[in-house]
Amino acid sequence: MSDHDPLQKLWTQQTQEPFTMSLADIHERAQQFQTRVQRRNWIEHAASVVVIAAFAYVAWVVPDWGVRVGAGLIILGTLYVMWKLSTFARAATIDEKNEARSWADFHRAELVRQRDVLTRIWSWYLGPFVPGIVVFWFAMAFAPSVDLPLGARLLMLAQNALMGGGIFAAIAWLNGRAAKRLGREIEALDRTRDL
Amino acid sequence: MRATPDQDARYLAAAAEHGPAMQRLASATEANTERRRDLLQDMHVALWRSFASYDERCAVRTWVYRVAHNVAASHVDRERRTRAPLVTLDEIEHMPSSQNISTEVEESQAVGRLNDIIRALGPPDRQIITLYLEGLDAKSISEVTGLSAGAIATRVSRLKSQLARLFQENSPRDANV
Repeated sequence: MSDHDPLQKLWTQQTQEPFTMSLADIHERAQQFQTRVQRRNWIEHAASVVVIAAFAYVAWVVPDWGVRVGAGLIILGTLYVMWKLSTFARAATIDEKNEARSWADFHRAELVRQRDVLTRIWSWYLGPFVPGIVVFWFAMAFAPSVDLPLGARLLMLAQNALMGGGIFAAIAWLNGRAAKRLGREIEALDRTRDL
Repeated sequence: MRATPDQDARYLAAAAEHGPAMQRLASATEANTERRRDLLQDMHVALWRSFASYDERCAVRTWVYRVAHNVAASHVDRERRTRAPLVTLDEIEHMPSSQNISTEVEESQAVGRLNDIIRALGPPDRQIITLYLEGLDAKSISEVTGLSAGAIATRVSRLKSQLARLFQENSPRDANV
């Protein structure tokens, strides 16, 4: 390519802001990065621990076996999501070798990872909570300790199902839409590579 | 993170030789001064970290550009929700200049305008044009980006002529930069 392109000359001879970073700064910032990743993982785990503690408390104080089974299943679902989150976090952790892959390989791998997380949202994030939540709704609607006619119990169940189902459907739809956008970006990248 | 003497030495040599190019890439990626500084620091940390596994299967220059461009691409990916949508160079031709064209004769403003244009580009045009401006040939750009040399040559030719035309149209006196 031409050595006399004026834009290349303008580009390479541009005045730059002063910038220095010593080895000590590099080492410190690399350590800060590791600490940040660990802190983020701890915050995610702490949120899950709060959910587990809340449902464990419910299972402890409510003398209804349906509620207890529901709470137990939600706790199991939360533990599963915690495990999957840590798997995804590990997959997303920067790997020195991956960082030096060609831009197309690096970019594609990242797009695929993000798309897969979003596409599989039912299997790793929403789905694990469904059995516990459904059992919980049934247990609350048909609790023998609550004096309600059958119609009112069914109405309560339907309201919970509609509200909870609506929230789950909205989360799944938003994630599906984002996954499709990432899919289109992957296709565009593949088309560029095939040229 | 424990550093090896090789890792530190390789990083220092690479940063001394390619630091200015990394800084130019950061300028072409991020307009905000503070975020640009953070991005540049991230590039340097990633480069130092990457040298722990440098296997000499590619030239140091290729390695440095790959790491820097991958960090920049991740940065854009994170920021794009709050940024203006990325466009192609064809679309930029119809974008009004955000600056007073008559004052763009100054070199710094011309560089600013060039950075504005590059920042608005989507992948892989941004990667290709910044590597071209650094003086890399199609084969070297291909090694960094992973795209075929033929595709690179075609895109460079198109990007180069459109970029030059944009500059001539918007700031005629920049022709002598």
